[in-house]
Amino acid sequence: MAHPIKRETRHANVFTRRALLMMGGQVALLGALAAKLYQVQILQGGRYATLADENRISARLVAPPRGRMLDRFGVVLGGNKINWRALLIAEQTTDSAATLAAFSRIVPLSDYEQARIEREIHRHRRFIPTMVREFLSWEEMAAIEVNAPDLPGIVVDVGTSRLYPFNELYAHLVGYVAPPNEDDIEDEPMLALPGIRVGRAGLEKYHDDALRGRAGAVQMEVNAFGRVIRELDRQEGVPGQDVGLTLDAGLQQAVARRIGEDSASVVVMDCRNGEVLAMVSNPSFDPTLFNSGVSPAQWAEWTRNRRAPLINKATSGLYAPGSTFKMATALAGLAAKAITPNERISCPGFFDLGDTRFHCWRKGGHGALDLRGALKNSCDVYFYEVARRAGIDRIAETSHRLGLGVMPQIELPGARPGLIPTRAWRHAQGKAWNIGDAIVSGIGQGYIQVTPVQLATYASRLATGRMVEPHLTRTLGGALQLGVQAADWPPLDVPDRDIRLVREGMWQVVNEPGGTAPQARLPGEMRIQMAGKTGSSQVRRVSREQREHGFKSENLPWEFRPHALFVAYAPYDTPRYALAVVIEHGNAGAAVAAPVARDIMIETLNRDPAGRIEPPGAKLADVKSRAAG
Amino acid sequence: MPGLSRADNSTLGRWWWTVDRWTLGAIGTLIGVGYIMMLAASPAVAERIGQSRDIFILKQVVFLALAGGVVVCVSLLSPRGIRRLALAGCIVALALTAATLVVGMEIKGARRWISLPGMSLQPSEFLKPCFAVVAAWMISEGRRSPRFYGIPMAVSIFAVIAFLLKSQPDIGMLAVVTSVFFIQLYIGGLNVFLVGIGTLGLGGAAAAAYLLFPHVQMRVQKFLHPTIESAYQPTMALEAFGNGGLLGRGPGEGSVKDHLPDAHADFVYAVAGEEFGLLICLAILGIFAFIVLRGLLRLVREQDLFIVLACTGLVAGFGLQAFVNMASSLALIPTKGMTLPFISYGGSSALAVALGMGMLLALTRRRHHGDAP
Repeated sequence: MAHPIKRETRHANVFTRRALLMMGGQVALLGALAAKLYQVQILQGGRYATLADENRISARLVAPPRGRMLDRFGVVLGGNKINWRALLIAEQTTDSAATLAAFSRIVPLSDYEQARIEREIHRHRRFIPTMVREFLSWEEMAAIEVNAPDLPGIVVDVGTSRLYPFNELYAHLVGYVAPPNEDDIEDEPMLALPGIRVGRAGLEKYHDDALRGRAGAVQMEVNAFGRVIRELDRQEGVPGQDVGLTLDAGLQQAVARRIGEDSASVVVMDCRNGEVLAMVSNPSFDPTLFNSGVSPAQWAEWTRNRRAPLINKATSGLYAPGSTFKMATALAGLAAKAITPNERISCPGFFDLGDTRFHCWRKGGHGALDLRGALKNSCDVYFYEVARRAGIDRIAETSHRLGLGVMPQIELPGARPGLIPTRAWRHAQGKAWNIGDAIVSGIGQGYIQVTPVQLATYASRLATGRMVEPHLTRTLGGALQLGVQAADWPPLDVPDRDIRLVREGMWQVVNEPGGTAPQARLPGEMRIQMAGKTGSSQVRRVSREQREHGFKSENLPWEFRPHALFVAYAPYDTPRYALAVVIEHGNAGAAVAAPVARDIMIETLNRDPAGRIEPPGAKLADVKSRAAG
Repeated sequence: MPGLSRADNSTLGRWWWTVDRWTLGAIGTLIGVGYIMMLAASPAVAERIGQSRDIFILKQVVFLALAGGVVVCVSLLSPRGIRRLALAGCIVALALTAATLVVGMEIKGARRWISLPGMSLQPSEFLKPCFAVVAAWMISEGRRSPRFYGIPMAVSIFAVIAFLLKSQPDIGMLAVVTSVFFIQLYIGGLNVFLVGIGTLGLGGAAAAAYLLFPHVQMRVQKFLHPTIESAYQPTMALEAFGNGGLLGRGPGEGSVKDHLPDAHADFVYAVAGEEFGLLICLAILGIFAFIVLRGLLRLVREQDLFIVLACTGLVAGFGLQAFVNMASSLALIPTKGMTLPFISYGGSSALAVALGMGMLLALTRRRHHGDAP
């Protein structure tokens, strides 16, 4: 610091001159900011407020949120989630292929998707957006927004989509939704709103009106481009109602786990009021795949699969009931006074009608049996004889009353009525009624076809003596629906004495030594007894040669093996739960279906869903948070 | 800080009576505004990405507290200490910036970040203040002793930095660092002729980029001729300002934070505009202007060339960064990912800006003549 004064002077000069210029520059920049702020916030802000010429008010309908589907304890089986979508507007890009290629580098598109997008671009008019990709994650959405300059024509918007947290477990019950088609929109203009979905299957379809709600209206200020500036007025629509189902999600899960890989169907009901607690049809499919479009390969896999994953076997699967039908034959015989309870019919192992011989399942025959004994041993010859005496029309009338062969009132579109043949039905086909057809009907074979849900209803009606109907809806928008009380259902109009005999027979099947289904006995420590009936229904006639050469159904190809069935209810003395198990081509009802039925009944009794207001093992807080979520 | 008497001779006491308390106060105010904006903008962002509502707030409270600490601690240093700190910081930050090209974390198409537990570090943020001080030292030293090749050394370091930032790429940061360096050369008394050549060279480079690189051309075209889709972010931001008007819609009443991906960082000024209105926006602008102008005015009396250049660089960098952010939000310039000092969310940004402001305060402390610079 030899010459401090001199240095100071020099710098001061240099600095002030140049620094002033720089300061001026900074002030100019900041001033530009302030000016722009003033322009945007005051000058143009005034324009926003006073609706300048290029702005206008536009009234729009807004889609109400779709109602949720809950199980009986509030677990969400079908809900809503946010859905970010990338759209391509063809007229805003010169080269849509290049845009798609650039998009593909950020969010990879499969060949199948690219083909679909290109097809749609050609089909649509150029200003109509084409869906490029739905269900973007937040990261993908942000990456697209940030790279927007490199993606001309791509816009991101937000909608909602349906969420099925349990995927395939409820596919056949809850069903799925899809965008409305043109016919739907003609009937109901609200459906033209973007993002709205209509139920296409299952309860989503059945309760579509309640779930859909009513559209709200919003008055919005839009500018000359149609861009929304702000909302002026909003009339909230009515959100769709929540549908509370009779199902118990925990039981449903347990049933599905017990069935495992089998092609099978199980229905568990509260036999006092017909509430369906679990209804499983296996295999199943993932309904969320319909949200984003099912690939042709997946569709082919589903439709070609001979185990028919797309079909709800519980309501649409038709099976000969086999021996599980014998209670209906018995009641028909008693009603027709064709037999008395204690009359014994002798079984030599076969039944001859003219020169046709019908066999009992037991080669040597059962000897003389009364009604209860015939049920306990599942003697075919006894019921051939009852059917012969009672006649097919009597059997059909009793079966219909028990819920077999008539359309159940279950809320699932696609449910089938099945068939109990009558003379009139056969005549309508232009054929004569053959007495042999009545004989095989006595053991639930021949033309008879029923569904698992009918079998569960049948077991419920036998157990309670009331005409309960299977149903899945417990509450709508929180209001309890009719049918919860046992007294809501009319009595069956079958003499008490008759029905008690049949129940005793069903009790003996499971609990007496020599009954056909000891595998279904509940463990002694439960102190609860189950009543039930096995069934093995042939899908193909067994020829004489086969019978004489030591025929074994296990050796048949899968699709020709008999179905294994079991119907049951428990507790025997105060019936609460009824169930039906059908295992396709499972061979023997006693060996295959009965253990499944027993395990599911144990699970049902332990959970006791009909006797609780919250699921077993749940803390109240969990229940509430689930109901809220 | 009451209780510090003028006679107090402790480090803290001397600091309190020599530091520029007006600037210190302005910085404190900015940190406070930053905290309030974080309360307004970040819960919506956090909710959208599925985080706890408070996650950004908690993180930023920690960062802002740390930033305040950094400002005070750094401003305690002597000018010589600042020079050493800047030199060390410059070397470390340069190495880390180079490392981002290899181990960097790619976010939205650029590699600017190094992932650390709890935060991601953007080393180029720290490079900016450190390089300003280092460049100031080299230029001033070069003028003092002819055998020290100050300007060529500074230019070569700048070239390395420019190359790294271009590779990341981080064009916004590159523009700020370049502008600051040129301002320093200019204030440092570089021949007007050379300054003119440099300016022409920059303009030529920009024109060449526009003509040679189609994506640069497209971005400029998009900016000049915006459409509804291409200008989604700036349009949303402008609408937010428009909605805010003079007094704003009220804290938490804005909606832009629900629509813009980076509402809590790059577009925090738009959130402020929508929720707090023109007056608060002007006030924020005023605080930045105050810090910049006061920093420059104080230099008029300064005799040490190093301090003049360093402070000019620090203040210019700070002001330009604020300008780029606010101007992006107001659609005056194309959108650039640059934070608003102390107000935007971001740990690297808050700490780096605090480092720069700490250095500024340290260098502008009153010294007796004869104190070692």
